[in-house]
Amino acid sequence: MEEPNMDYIKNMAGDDQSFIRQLLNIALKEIPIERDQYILHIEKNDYEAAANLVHKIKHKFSIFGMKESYTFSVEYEASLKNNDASGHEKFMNRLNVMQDYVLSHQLES
Amino acid sequence: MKCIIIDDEATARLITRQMCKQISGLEVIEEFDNAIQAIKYLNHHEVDLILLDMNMPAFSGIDFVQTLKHNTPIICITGDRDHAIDAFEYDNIVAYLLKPIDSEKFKKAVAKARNTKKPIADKITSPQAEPTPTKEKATDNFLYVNIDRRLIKIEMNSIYLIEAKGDYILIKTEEKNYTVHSTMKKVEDKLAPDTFLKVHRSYIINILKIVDIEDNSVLINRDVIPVSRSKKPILMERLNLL
Repeated sequence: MEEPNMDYIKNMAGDDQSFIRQLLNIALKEIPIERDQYILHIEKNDYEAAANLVHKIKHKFSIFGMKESYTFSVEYEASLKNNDASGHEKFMNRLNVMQDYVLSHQLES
Repeated sequence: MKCIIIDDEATARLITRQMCKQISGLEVIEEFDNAIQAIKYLNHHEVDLILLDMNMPAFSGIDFVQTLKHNTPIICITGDRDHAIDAFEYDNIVAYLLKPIDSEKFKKAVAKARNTKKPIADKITSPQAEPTPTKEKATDNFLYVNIDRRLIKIEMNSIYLIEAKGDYILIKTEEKNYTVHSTMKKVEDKLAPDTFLKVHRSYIINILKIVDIEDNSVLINRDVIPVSRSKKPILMERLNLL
């Protein structure tokens, strides 16, 4: 599994360290909410709604440098729109890696 | 140059704001997590640039562009390439950027927006260009809808709003709401054209139930509904204006 990184965020922050703190705080609030909503939609077999959450989450993969997970999510989002949720487990693994990474960096900052 | 950010994701709004900080003379004066709030704000405030996410629930970026009263330059920001095709139909969309935003591309897009002259007059499609549908009058006063294999009768006059919800439509009456698997086109064909009007691609209203009209939105019952630029003249024509 690929490792997340802070390259894009640091590049954007420049000397503005407060931006990094703010971004980690917001991401740490948004990711668990979106994660819970996504799981709820999958449990209800509402794949269209789940696809909308994958759409949001994939953007965060790209912010944290998870290119493979982003590409995977693009395909998974399309599959969900065709009522195919077979990528659920892989998606959750990738999402958990990102959430753990954000949490560990938020504690550091 | 004053701009606003419209994006339902807080992370994305923060990143866009940070991008703006890096461009001298560009000031973010407000940000919104939904497009309807932004429309209301823009009815009373002038801005030079709108940074717009295309993929938002309920009221999308394209819905926003269609409803916008002024031709303020817009930079579309999205995670979905498919939206680009829709976006380039509109003259005031100066650039289309994919998430995560590349700072060089963002700078170029803002420079392009700066060079875009704001048209003095609003581009409003004339009523002649988009005539009121000339469908036959519905002879029945009731609409029958199929919900869970049951045909349910709805009194036509009790309907005040019909809203598009993906593959479904939401029919709102004063007593109850009905979610039906159908399309706006199909239901529009069944409604009396002298009473109902499609004011936006996602909304059909009963014009007899309008409480008030403010710029590009109508208050109907307790719902505030956007009116597309092209539909506004048609709506005004249908009203008994003093």
